Amino acid sequence: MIQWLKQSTTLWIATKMLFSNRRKILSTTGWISLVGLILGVASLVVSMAVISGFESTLQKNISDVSGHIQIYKMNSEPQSTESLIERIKNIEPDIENLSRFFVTEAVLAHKGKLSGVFLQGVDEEKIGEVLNLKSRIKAGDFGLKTTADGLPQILIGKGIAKDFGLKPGDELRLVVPINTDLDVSQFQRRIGHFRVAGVLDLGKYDYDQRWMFTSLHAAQDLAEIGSRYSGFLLKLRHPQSAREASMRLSHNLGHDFRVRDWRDINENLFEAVKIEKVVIFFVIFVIVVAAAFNVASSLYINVVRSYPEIGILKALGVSQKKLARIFSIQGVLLGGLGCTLGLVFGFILCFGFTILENQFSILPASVYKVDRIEVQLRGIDLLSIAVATLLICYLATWAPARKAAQMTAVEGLRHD
Amino acid sequence: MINQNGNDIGSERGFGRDIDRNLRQPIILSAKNITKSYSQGAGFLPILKGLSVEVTKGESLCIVGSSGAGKSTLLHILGTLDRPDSGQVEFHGENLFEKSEDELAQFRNSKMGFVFQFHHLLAEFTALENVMMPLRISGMKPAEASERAYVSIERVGLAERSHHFPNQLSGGELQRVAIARALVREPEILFADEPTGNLDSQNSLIIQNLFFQLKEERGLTMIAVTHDAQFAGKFSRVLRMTDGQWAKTV
Repeated sequence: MIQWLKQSTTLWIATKMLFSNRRKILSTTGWISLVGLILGVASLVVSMAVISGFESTLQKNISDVSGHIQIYKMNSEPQSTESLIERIKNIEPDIENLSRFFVTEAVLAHKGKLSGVFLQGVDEEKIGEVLNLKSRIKAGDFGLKTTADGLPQILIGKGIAKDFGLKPGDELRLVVPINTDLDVSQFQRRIGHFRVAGVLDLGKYDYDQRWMFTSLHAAQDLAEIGSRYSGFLLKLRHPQSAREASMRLSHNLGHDFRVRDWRDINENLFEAVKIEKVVIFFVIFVIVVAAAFNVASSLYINVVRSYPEIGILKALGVSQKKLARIFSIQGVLLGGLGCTLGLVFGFILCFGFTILENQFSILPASVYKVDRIEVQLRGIDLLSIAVATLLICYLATWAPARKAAQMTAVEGLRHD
Repeated sequence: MINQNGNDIGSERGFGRDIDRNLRQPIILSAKNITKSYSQGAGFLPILKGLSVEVTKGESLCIVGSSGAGKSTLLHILGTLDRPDSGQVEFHGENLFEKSEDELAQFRNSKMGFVFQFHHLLAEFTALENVMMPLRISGMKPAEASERAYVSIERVGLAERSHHFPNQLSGGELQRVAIARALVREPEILFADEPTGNLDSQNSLIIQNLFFQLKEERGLTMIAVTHDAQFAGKFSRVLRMTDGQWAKTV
């Protein structure tokens, strides 16, 4: 390939004619059209990076708080936890770790305010290996033990902390409905007291507003369910294969279990993001197409200005095919230049976006679900942008290249 | 004057001198009944009106005539740079215009060399690179092309100027580079379209001498168009054109 590049006559002629400082092929209009291409590509880079970042931030936030897969037991069959774990691990070898959990709805009552919340009881020994809550502590400590005064510790979302004015060390009350043994339609209230150990930044607005974590034992006690639990939270070695793993588990565990992967938890949102990404790509790509045609029009002017050179090259024996290739190469080189500079400019904008995000809260979490996006420059996105841009530049130069190729030698020579 | 094929080939100075050559040497290029016209408004302006000519191998033919007589148009057609409206051009008996454009391009590259009035060097390339151009187009590797181009440029006395760009060379030097480029592929025929037309008398003389030295060295066939009587006087045969036809007298 490098050998070909070194020895290619068409590439030699194309580059010399395009970049020689003895000839201003890249006229002012040429540079302006190239700037258009750079801006178009940079816009694509930023939009793709932001959407990819949004998607992966959302995914990370969900899997940090809910694990990669959740398995809910739908009945209380008397199967031992150990044998159930063994069975699950046999079905899905990609499981790195799993932990029991129990989740219930409760009412938080504090300082005269009430709010519905989800209380999740997690296995305090295993939870660090399945969820990623420790790194999300915003205030206080990660603790799920029982304090000296006999109150179980609880971790609360930062939205709850803010709305209720709670801080680490505060005591809070949760009320859960307990149905009576005699009549399932009747509920008794049961009040549990907890000590706030830490405040979590769960990364997702509705999580921060509604989720609390305590030990499995404390949650079971509050709900008076003995040693029963809701199911298992799973961590996979390869999170991207969660969909296949959940399908395998669902198929093999049968109807007594409900299996959800991280994508199921916000399926509509993920689908929307996916569609939005494609739509935005094509909408912004229109800018690139327009810019590519601007580059092509500059190249067209260049072809007209190069009539004498085309005539000389034809007189010296350059074939129509090679001549068309020379101008196509020039188009692709200009496209490549615009694309490269656009990618670099896009990186700079992404970097700027990250700085802005760190300095100011530019994303309202109540609107976008997350209050922070880690912009993500995915290789596949950048490759798609580069390939699409070069392809459109190549296609856009077809007309000028064809015009150059079809000219006779004499037409060019007379033009001088 | 009528040639052996019955075609009017016009009056020729030095014809008697060429008879011997014509008898000894094969015909390398022949044009038969060439017509060419250009559109002008609603109609057509005839430029060439059924011209025929035969050129023998090693011959030096000069075409003279007033401006607008059609000399350059004929030269371009003989050199396959343009196509005639009718008639044919044969090279060693092969009808050239039956070839495709790409075949003709390849043919020009290997068999023909061109020198124009305005040198027509590529401004973005050095003198050496300009001379390398026909070799590179033929597919020769850069290193080998560079070596051969250097030999050619050395032959025209511009070795020390080989890395200069055209805008750094004088008119005479530019034309010498153009000659080096035209001959670097060792063509069989050299076409020259008013090669001294843009030069002062001193440089014109240098170029004229160079042409004939190289022609003799390489046994070239040379066809030139010129207004320069001194230059025309050095050719073995001179044909005059008037109004798209061969003139009756010189």
